[in-house]
Amino acid sequence: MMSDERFFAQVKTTLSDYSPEVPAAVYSGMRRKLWWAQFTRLSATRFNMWYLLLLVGISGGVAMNYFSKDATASKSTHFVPTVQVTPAAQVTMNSGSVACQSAAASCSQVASCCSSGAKMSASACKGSSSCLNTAGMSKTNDQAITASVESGTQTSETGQVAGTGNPEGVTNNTQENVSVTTIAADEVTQPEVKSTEVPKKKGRKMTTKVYESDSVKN
Amino acid sequence: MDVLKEIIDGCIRGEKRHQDMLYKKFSSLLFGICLRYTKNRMEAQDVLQDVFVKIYNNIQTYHNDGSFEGWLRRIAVNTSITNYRKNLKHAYQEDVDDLVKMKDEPLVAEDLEFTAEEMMQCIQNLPAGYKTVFNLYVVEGYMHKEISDMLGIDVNTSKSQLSRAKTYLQRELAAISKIKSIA
Repeated sequence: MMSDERFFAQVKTTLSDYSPEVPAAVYSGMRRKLWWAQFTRLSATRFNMWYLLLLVGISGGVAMNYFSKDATASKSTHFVPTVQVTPAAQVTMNSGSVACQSAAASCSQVASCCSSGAKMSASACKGSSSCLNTAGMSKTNDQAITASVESGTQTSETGQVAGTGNPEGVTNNTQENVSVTTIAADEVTQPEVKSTEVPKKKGRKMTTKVYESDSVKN
Repeated sequence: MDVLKEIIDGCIRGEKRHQDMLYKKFSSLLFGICLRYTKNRMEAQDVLQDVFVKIYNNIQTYHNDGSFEGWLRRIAVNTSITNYRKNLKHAYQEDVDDLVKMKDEPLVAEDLEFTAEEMMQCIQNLPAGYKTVFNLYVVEGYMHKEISDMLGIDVNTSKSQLSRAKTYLQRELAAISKIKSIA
């Protein structure tokens, strides 16, 4: 048997200069791989995947912004605000009432509760647009405070008498079309958001949010 | 030498003309290396493509401090080893004993006569692990310690695989020589 060293030397001599012919398809495949490798490589000097992603992201953002504005504009033309509030309203807080609290599960119940003239907590009456339209709710007790709302802007602070300066909750009836409702003292400081279902064309229902203050302006 | 320098500089600048010149000059040599480490020509072609992609992307790291051909060979060997590792978890690892069918025949004492293609055919029939160890030790000239580090195997595994690969190849080449002498 030939020695290992001789065998290895013979193998090495035979194989070290072995240069078979390369098929032509290898070149095109190599070019494709090279293009992809350079495309996915982060480089500031040549256009690559990262530039493309950035471009797509920016254009997508711009397009989304444009279409969302467009959609908002078209939506606003379909909705009719249902809450109509008179320009001036007398807001009276009635902290001592518990009668309507448990029964105010639905707006209709709240409305009926308010229209019946019973005392009602502010949280129960919050979601009821009917209550806003209910006039004549000027019944107050000793703990009531009065907040005046003129032209849709609430000027009262929590627990303080604003506008009328009347701690006894005496209503200000000098203005026209005065509507009175009861809301909580801690909710007087912010404009109230009313969520209501508005029937759209062809009977579809959609939900929109209407700011009371905006409605007051209208 | 100046031509090679010009080709290298052109490849560093990313010029396609010089990249093609480099491909024409060295593709055959590197394809031969890839063939030794792979199972068939298709796999070797895939590895060769990866080799050239690596060369073009990293040619700026070559600093003329050694043989350029040696640098290219090293890239080809390293890429082939990477390919071997990648296929390791998917491939069925057969033992060289499964391939040896002439165990009882005595080994020939005289020099074997074989061509590069015959040798290459025998090497490609070896299991991937044996083939890689044999190539690294015999052709590339690495030590068993280096091979064990490169492949993540034990030094003794490297030695035993080399010994088995050598025995298998000697038997195969002896059989080929015998057939040729009869013909």
